[in-house]
Amino acid sequence: MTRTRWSSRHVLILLLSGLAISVVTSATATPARASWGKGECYESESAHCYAYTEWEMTHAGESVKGAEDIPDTTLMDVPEYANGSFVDDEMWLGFSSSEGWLEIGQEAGSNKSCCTLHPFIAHAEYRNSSGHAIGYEEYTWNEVDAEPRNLYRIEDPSANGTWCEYIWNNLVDCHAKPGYWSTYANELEAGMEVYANSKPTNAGSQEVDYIAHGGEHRAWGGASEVHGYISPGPNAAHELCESPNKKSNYPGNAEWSTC
Amino acid sequence: MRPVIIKTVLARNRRLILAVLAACSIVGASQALSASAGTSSSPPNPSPFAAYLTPPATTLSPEEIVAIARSESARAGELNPTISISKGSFENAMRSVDPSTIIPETSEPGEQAMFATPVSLVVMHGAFTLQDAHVRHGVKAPIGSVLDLIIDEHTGAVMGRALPSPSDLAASLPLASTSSTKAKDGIIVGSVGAGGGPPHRGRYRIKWSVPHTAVVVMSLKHVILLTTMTDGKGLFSIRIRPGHYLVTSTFTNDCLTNRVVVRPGKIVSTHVSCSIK
Repeated sequence: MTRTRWSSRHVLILLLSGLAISVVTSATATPARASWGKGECYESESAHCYAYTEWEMTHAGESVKGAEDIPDTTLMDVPEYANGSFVDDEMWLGFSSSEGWLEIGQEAGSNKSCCTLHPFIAHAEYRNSSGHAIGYEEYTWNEVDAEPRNLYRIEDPSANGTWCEYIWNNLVDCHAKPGYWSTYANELEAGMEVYANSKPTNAGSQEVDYIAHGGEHRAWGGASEVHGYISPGPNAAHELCESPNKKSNYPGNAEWSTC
Repeated sequence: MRPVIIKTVLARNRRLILAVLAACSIVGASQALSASAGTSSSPPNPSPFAAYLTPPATTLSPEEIVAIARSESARAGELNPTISISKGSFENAMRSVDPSTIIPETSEPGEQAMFATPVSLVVMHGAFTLQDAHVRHGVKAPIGSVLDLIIDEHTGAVMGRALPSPSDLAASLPLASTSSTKAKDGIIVGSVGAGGGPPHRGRYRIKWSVPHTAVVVMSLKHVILLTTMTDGKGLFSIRIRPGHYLVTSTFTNDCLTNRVVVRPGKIVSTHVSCSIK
C-alpha cells in the first residue's frame, strides 16, 4: 500500500517535472520566423524584397538630370501594417560614385494603415565600406492620401548638385550632399519594395521617363538596356511577379504584383 | 552579381526609342511623360496636398511623445537612448535635421498647412539601425549614433526619421534656432584640402582632403561668427543668414580665406585650400 502511494506520488512528480520542462523549453525556444517568398522575404535589413526595372547606364558618360515615375497602384493590402510592415510603389535615383540615392513614391503600412496610400520621400548620402546607408532621411505625409495613380519626380533643376523632389507638381524639398551626390545621376530603378513577415497584396503598373541634361523628358534606355529584376533571389520570384507594361510597353515601364 | 530572374528586356527596339525621343522633343515638359510612355492618359490633376487634413486639436503630452520615441528607438535596436525634445513646425524640423534642406515657397494653402504642422523634434543618442528603412536593393540598413524623429504633435504619427551623417550633425542647429532664423537662410557647402606648396584656389594642387578640422566663418571685418568641423571626407555644410562672409580653416596657419555671398534659399560652395609647406 505504502509502495503504491509512493509510486503514484512519484509518477505525479515525474509528470509535473515533465510539464515544467516542456513549458520552460517552449518558452525559451526560438519561435519559427514568419516569412514568405520561400523564406527570402521577412522583416530584416537583408530581407526586403523587390520587383523593379533598372536602367543600367553602362556606356561612358551616360547620366541623367532627373527622372519621373507614375505608379498606378491597383491593389494594396498590408495585413501586418501594425508591426511596421510596408509596401512601396516607387522610384530610386542613385549615384554610382558614392552609392547614395534618393527615392520617392507611395506606400501603405508602416504602422499607419493596411491599404491607404501615402506619399513619401527618402534618401541616403552614401553607402559606407560595410554596405550600410549613411545620412539617411525619410518623410511620409501621413495626412495626405495619395491617388492610386500619381506623378513623382526627382530632379536637379539647376544642374548644380542640389536635388529636388516633387509629388505631382508640388516641390516638397531639395537637398545637396556635396562630395556624395553629383550634378548628374547614373542609376535609375522603379518598382515595388516589400518589408513584411507575411505576404501582402500589391499590384499595379508604372510608367517612367528620364530628364536629359538639356531638360528634355525621354524614355529610359539611351544607349544601354533596361531590365527587370526580382530581388533578393529565385525563391522570391515565386511570389513576386513583373512583366512589361502591356498598355505602355516602353523601356522601364512594367506591371508588378504579389502573385 | 545581382540575381537576374526576370529579364524582361524592355529596351531592345532602338527604333522605338528614337521615335519616343522624337516625340519628347516636340511636346512640352508636362506632356513629355505621357508621350514618352506612349499613353494618352495623365495622372489625376488635383494636388495631393490640396486635401491636406488638418490634424485634430488635441496635443500629445511630453510623456506620450517620449513613449513614442522609446518605441521607435527600441525598433531601431537601442533600448536606452538619451532623449531631448523640442517643438516647432514640420518645415523647421526638416531644416534642423538636415541643414542642406531647402523648402520652396508655396502659395497653395494645403501645402502651407502641411509644412506648418506643429511637431515635436526628438533627438536621441545611442546606436541605431533602421531595419525598416526604405532602401535600395543590396544596401544594408541605415546606421547612426543619432536618431531624429519628427512627430506630429496632434496625431503622434512619425512624419520623419533621420540618422544624420557626421557632416549634417556638425552643421545642425537646434529647432529653436531654426524657428528664429528660418527667414530665408542660405547654405555654405564646401571642403577643406591640403597639399604642398602655396595654397591655391581650386583643387588642382590639393593632395588630400582634411577630415575633422575646423572651418571658420567670419564677417568681412574678420569677426568670427561661427565655427564647425569637416566630416570624415573633409566636407562641411553651414546654414546661415544671407550676406557676405569669409570662410577659412585653422588646419594650418596658411589656409586660404574665401569670400562667399550667401543668398536666401540658395547654396553656395567654396573650397578652402591649406598649405602644409
